[in-house]
Amino acid sequence: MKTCWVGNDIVDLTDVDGQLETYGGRFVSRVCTGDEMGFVDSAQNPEEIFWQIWTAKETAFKIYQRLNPGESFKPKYFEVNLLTCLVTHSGCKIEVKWDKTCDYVFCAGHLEKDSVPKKIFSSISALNQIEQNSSIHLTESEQKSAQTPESCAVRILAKTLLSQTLNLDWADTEIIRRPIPHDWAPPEIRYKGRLLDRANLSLTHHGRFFACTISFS
Amino acid sequence: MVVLFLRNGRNSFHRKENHMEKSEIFKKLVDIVSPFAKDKDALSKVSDQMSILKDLKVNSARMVDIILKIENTFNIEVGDGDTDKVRTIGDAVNYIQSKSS
Repeated sequence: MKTCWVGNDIVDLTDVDGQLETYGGRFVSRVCTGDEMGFVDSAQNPEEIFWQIWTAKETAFKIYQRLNPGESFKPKYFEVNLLTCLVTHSGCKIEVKWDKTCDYVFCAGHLEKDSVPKKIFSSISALNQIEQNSSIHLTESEQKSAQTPESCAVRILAKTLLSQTLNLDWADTEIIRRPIPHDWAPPEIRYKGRLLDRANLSLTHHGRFFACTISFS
Repeated sequence: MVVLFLRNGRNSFHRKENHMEKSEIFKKLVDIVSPFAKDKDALSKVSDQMSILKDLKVNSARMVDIILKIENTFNIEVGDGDTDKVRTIGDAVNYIQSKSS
C-alpha cells in the first residue's frame, strides 16, 4: 500500500522568531512570490498571512524532501495559493490546511495526488502540557536522534497521538530520525522494531509549541 | 606593450583590493550567524564542516535572514536557488569568496 506523505510546520507568534519586525527589511520579499506579496500587502493582519504562507511552504518542502532527499529549502520556489489551499513546486501539488490562534499558526498538508484511503491526524500542544504527561518515555535509539528537550517533547507528543489514534502501544513504538549530510532525515515510525511503512509522520516545534501530523494508509 | 603592462598591473591591484581572505570571511560570517545559533556549545567550537541548520540549530526562517545579511555585509547577491551552496560554514565561506572576487 502506498504511503501518504505528510508535512507540517508551526510558528509561535509570541516568540521573537515569530515576529516579522525582528527580520531584515527584504525578508518578506525574499520568501514570497509576487502573488503572495499581494496577499500579504492587502491583508488586515499581514504578519498572520505571512506566517500562513511560510508554514505552507515549509510543510510542502517537508513532503518534497521525502520525494527528493538532499534537497535544500528554497522558499520562493514553493508557490502558495491561499484561495485553493494548494502549494506547487516542480510538478508537485500539496494540499494544506491551517489552524490559527492568536498564539500560533499551524499548517499540515499532504500530496494532492495521494488518492489512497487515508486518515490524517494532527496534534498541537504547548511544552508545559507535554511535561505534565510524562508517563511516556523515549527509547535509547530515540534519545540519540532527539538531541534537544524540544525534540524529545515532540516525539512524546507523536507517540501519544499514535497510541490514541492507531492503538499502537507507545512502549513498542519508536520515532527515529537518521542523520544525513547537513541535516536529519524525515522521521520514521518503527513498531516492534520494524518500519511502519503504511504510516507517515511529520514533526515540528517552535517556541512554546509542538505539533505532529500522522497519516495512515 | 606598456599599455598591457599597466592594464595587468591595475587588474592585479583591484584583485588584491576586492579579494578577502577566507579567515576574514569566516570571522564575519560567524558574527552574522551567532545571534541565531540556538546551539551555543556548537557555536563555541564552530568550524568549516558545521552545518548552519543542523549543527548550529539555526531555524529556516532565520537562515533566510542570514542570507540577506551575507548580501549586505559582503555586497554580493545570493541567488534564490543558491541556498544549497551555503549549507555549511565552509561552503558559505567559499561561496562568498567566489562571489566577491
